[in-house]
Amino acid sequence: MFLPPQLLDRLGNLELVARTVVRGFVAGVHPSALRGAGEDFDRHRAYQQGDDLRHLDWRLYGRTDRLFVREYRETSNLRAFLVVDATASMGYAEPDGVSKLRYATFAAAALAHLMLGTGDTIGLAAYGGAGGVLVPPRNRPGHLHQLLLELERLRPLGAADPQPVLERVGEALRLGGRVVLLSDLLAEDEGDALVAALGALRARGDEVMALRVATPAELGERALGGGVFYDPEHPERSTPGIPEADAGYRARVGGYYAALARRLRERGVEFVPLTTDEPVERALAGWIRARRA
Amino acid sequence: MLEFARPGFLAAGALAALLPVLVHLIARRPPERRALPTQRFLRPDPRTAIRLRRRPTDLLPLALRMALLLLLGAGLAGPAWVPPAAGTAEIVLLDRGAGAAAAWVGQLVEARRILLPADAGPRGALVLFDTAAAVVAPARLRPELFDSLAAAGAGDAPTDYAAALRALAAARAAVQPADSARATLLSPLRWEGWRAGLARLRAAAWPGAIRLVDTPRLPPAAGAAEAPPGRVAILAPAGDGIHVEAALGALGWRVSRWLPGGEPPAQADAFVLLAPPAADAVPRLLAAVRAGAAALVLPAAAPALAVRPPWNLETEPGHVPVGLPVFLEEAGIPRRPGAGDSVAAALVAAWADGTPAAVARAEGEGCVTWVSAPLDRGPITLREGYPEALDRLLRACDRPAAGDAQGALPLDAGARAVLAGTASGLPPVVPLAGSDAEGGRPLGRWLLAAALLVFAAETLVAFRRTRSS
Repeated sequence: MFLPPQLLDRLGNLELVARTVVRGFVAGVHPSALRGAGEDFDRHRAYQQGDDLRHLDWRLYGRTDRLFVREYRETSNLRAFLVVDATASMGYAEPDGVSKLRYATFAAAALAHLMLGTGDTIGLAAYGGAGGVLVPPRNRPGHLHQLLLELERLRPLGAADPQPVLERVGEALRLGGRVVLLSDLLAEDEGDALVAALGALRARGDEVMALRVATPAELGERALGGGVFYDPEHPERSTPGIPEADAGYRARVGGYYAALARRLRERGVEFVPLTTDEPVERALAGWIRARRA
Repeated sequence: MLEFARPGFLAAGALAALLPVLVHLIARRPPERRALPTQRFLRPDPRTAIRLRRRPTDLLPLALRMALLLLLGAGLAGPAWVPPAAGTAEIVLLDRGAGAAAAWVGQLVEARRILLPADAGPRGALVLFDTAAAVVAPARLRPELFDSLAAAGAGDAPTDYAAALRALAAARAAVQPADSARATLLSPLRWEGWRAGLARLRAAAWPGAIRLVDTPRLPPAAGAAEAPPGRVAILAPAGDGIHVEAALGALGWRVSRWLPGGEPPAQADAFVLLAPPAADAVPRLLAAVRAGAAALVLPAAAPALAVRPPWNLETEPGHVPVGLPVFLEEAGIPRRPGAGDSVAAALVAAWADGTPAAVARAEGEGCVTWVSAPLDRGPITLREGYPEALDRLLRACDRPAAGDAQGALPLDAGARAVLAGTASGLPPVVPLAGSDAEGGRPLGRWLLAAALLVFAAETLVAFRRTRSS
């Protein structure tokens, strides 16, 4: 059973959240899609349906009459960066719901926990907020704690372009890294600069994933009622309206994300839509399952 | 039970009362300012200036406006309070005068039967009267009361029907909350209880008919035996007086005609003067009267007599009218204005307001009766009691003095008709409680008045809120 994001929020401790989330989706999904297959034997694990039969330890089977697979320690030294959008728009939350930034930190914490567990070296970057964050990729005792601490400190504030941060991430990754962007991907220029920055990273060989975080109300899937709505990153702009009564609102928002997703995919960037009303475990499990497929 | 003549207005008022609720749900304040990162995808909508709240605001004005519409609808719907059917109460007027002594037990039996029916409890009021009246409330009507009244017997005071009539108002109040009331008079029904002006009091005291129950009459007073009809001479021009002649003849009088200008018949026990006699006949007429004859003088003949008709007269105390008081009223006989010297005479007939209608005075051995209205023509001649009235006027001086209880004479048909109210077409049952027998007590004006007050209150509250905001 997956915990809704509101309950995860009540856990308080992001490390506990990360372990809970990982435990939740690892139990149902084989995590090999995110693991590297290295040469050094690490440990045995009970066979699960879907495991590569080449890794079955027949000798151990002969002794125990039970199937085990060998797991190997990652030796490819995959370097990855989690890039979190901490601009003001990420602070938006629906009544009785968690903010987009909070949801993104849950997902980032879970991914950091998972990927560090598979031997990756993980770094963290954030833009917006009180100031930029850049934690170099590492994999050593205490690094996960440091990452989670930085994630906890993130506060949604201001407006910022992701390009400078993505460029610095690219420099830190050198070649063949992995970049996971967690953002609402709302940009003034219809996302042109964002698409270009992510596309550049992909073009030089990095694996790039854009996890779009949005709320059901932003997508037009939940009624908001009437009011004068303003952009948190540009409070001077406001529009009186009733989103659910605006016949084209949902189509316009959906059209923006569809066009953005198409452009990102054209550049080899993986687009993963996440909504804050979906349990994080389910969202990540679905994503990983789709990757394996 | 509340009933509505036009329930459609009530329904309309109830529906209209919901409109203020809708109006008070609409927020008039500026719309709420809220964050939405996808704001740029939203198209402007002016309806955001109005938003619906979950609960209405300004509850006091809302309540007043709803109350105003409800009261208007209810007031226009024609509401009436129709009390539950409570039946008809009985009011019994029981004559306790000295003259009712012989009929007392019979009257009590009848009163008990009316007021204490076998199938229900007391349902009326008892009025005991002689010269004054006492109302016995329904709660006190028990068999023991009638037993004690029977043991006590009738009183010593004379009867006065006016006292009974005046007590009807109190009896009417005592039998509420009955829907209606019916009055019954138990009395030997004699002239002793009649008073001048009783007809007018009767009309004012009770708007319905009074059932008259015959109780045994008193025997005629000793010495009051009437002489058999004798010979009567009618002075009238040829062709006149035919009704008088026929009426008296029907009673056994031997009628002869006496033309104006002629001599009065020598053998006549009574004279009816419908025209003035010749001057030289007056002395012989008066001589006959003083010798024992009776003379009935109608207005046309009165000026010819030496003694003026005493219309403005002082009646002798103790005399009460006997006969014809309302008989003349009902027949519409025009009155003659009073004029002339005052002469002591007995009032033998009066109009309903007490104005003398006929007076009689003894002349020697005979009697002269002056009547203030012509009795020889018009519809009065067709009334059932007409012959008896003429006979009584001819014997006016023969009647014992009224007021003697032992000599009381029964009420004639005319007086009975007045007491009963049948002559006026009054209903047998009188509605009570001031309510319309058909529609109940109307409440519409009260509800509309309340609506007006609520409107004033709402206006004041709205004005104060406008000023404070």
